[in-house]
Amino acid sequence: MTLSFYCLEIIILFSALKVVTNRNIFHCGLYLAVCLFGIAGLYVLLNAELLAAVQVLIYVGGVVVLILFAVMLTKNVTGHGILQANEQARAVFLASALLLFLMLKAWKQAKPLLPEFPPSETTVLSQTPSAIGQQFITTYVLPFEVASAVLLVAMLGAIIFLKRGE
Amino acid sequence: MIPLHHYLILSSVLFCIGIYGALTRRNAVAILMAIELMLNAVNINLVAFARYVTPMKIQGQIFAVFVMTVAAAEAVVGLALIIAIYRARDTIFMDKIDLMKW
Repeated sequence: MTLSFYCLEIIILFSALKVVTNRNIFHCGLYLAVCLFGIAGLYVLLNAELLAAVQVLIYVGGVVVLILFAVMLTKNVTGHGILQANEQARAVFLASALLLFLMLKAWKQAKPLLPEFPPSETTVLSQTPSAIGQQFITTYVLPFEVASAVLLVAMLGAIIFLKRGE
Repeated sequence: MIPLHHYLILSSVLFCIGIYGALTRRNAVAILMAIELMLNAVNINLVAFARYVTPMKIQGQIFAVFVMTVAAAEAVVGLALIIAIYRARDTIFMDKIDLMKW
C-alpha cells in the first residue's frame, strides 16, 4: 500500500508539472487526464470508491474531454516561437513557493493535533456509496437540489454564450 | 501505513503547482486546466481528512462530490466563454485580451 501510494504520488506530481509547463496545449490536456486518473487511484486508497468512480466519469470522461474539444476548437500555432508563460513567471514561481512554505509551516503547527495513522479498516464505513446516497437524500438534500440547479444554469449559460448571430 | 501528512503535503504541492499554472500560462484553456488541478488538490485534502480524522462520517466525501459538481459546471461555462472570445478576437492568449486594462 505504501508502494502504491508513492507510485501514485510520483505520477500525480510529474503530470501536474507537465500540465503547467508543456508547450503543446494538447499534451497538457492529456497530462491532466493522467493526473486525474492518479488522483482517482488515491481515492481508492482512501476507501472512497464512489468518489474514485465519479472522478473518472466526470473529470476524466467529461471535463478533460471538454477541455480537449475546446483546445481543438481554438486552434493556435504551437510552434517554437510561441511563449507559453507570460512575463510574470518568475514572480509567480516565488509567490507559489512562498505559499507552499506557509502551508507547510501551518501543517507543522497543526501536526500534534492530527492523528498520524488511519484508524483500522474495521472501523471504517464499509458501504460508502449507499451511505453517501442516504446523506444526499436526508441531511444534504438542499445542497443536492441547489447543485442540480447550478448544473442546469451552467448548461443554459454555455448554450447562450455560444449562440451565433442574433 | 501511510501517515496523514503525506496526503496533506501532496495536496499542498499540487495546489501550488495549480496556482503557478493559473497565474503564468498565456493560453486560456491552460489556465482552466490549472484551476482543475487546484480543485482536485482540495478534494484530496477533504477526502484524506474524512478518512483519517472522522472515518465513520463521510461529510468530507460529500463535500468533495459538491466540489466536483461545481468544478464541472465552471469548466463548462469557462470553456464556452473562451470559445466565444476566440470567435470575437481570434486569439486566446491572455496577454492579448487586454482591452479593459488601464
